[in-house]
Amino acid sequence: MKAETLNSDIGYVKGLVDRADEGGMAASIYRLWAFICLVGFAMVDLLPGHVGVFWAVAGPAGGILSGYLGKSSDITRGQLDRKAGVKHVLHWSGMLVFIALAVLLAVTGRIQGVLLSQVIILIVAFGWWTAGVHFDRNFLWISAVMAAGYIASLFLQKFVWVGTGILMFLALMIMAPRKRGSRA
Amino acid sequence: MPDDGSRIAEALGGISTILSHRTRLGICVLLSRHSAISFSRFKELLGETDGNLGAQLRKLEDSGLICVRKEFLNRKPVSWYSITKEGEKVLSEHLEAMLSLAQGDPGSGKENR
Repeated sequence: MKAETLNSDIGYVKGLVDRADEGGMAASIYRLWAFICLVGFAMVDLLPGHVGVFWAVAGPAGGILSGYLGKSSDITRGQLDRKAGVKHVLHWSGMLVFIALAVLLAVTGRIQGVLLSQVIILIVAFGWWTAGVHFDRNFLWISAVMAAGYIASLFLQKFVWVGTGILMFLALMIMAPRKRGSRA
Repeated sequence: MPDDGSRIAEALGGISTILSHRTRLGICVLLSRHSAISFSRFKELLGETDGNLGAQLRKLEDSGLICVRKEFLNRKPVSWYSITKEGEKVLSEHLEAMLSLAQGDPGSGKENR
């Protein structure tokens, strides 16, 4: 077997692997979280008393719906990846657990109001950053938007969370992949 | 210490005849990275005709390297392919031997297939 043939075959296989990995996460998941983030973040400024309830429902429900949308998209695309699915579940459910643990700080009276929101946005920003490292590079930018929102919340008083929610919405909608495989 | 000739022969031993065809090699590498891939997706990724792709998949299936599961999605038949344990083993040995040969450092060969 010639070295040229071998190198050509290795290059061919590498190209195939890269093509199969193109596309990232389903666009419907980006859009789902764009709306959840827009409402959830804006509520910190507009309806602070209902933020906890909203995220307690929207967080886990959004996670389950994302799993369903991801699976449906994979079936339509014709490419299933159980290992990646398990990684996503561990990553995002882990983040939800740590958010719930942060909420304990408020429940036990150690922190209140906006400070809790700031702690949570830091956890979420870090979660999206690590998701950007491991799953989809677009998430790094979304994490950066959250970090900017966190910094803004340290210095500004009014409508910081509404602004962050709008920026998150725009970032997620813009980064939603335009096209993914069309049929099984 | 073995001479270059015997080391090359040893590495060549890891080369699988069935995986020497680049389309079949590509199919097995993709299946080693994803739990299942449909016929249509393979066609899209590999750019092969239905007939050629079907023939290559059948050869891999007959060799026991991959398996197929057929189901209906929206009333359309879909064939899902997955790699078998045997397929993973043969692919791993084949890739190891290929890399050894490509790097000019053969020495990891196993039995021939």
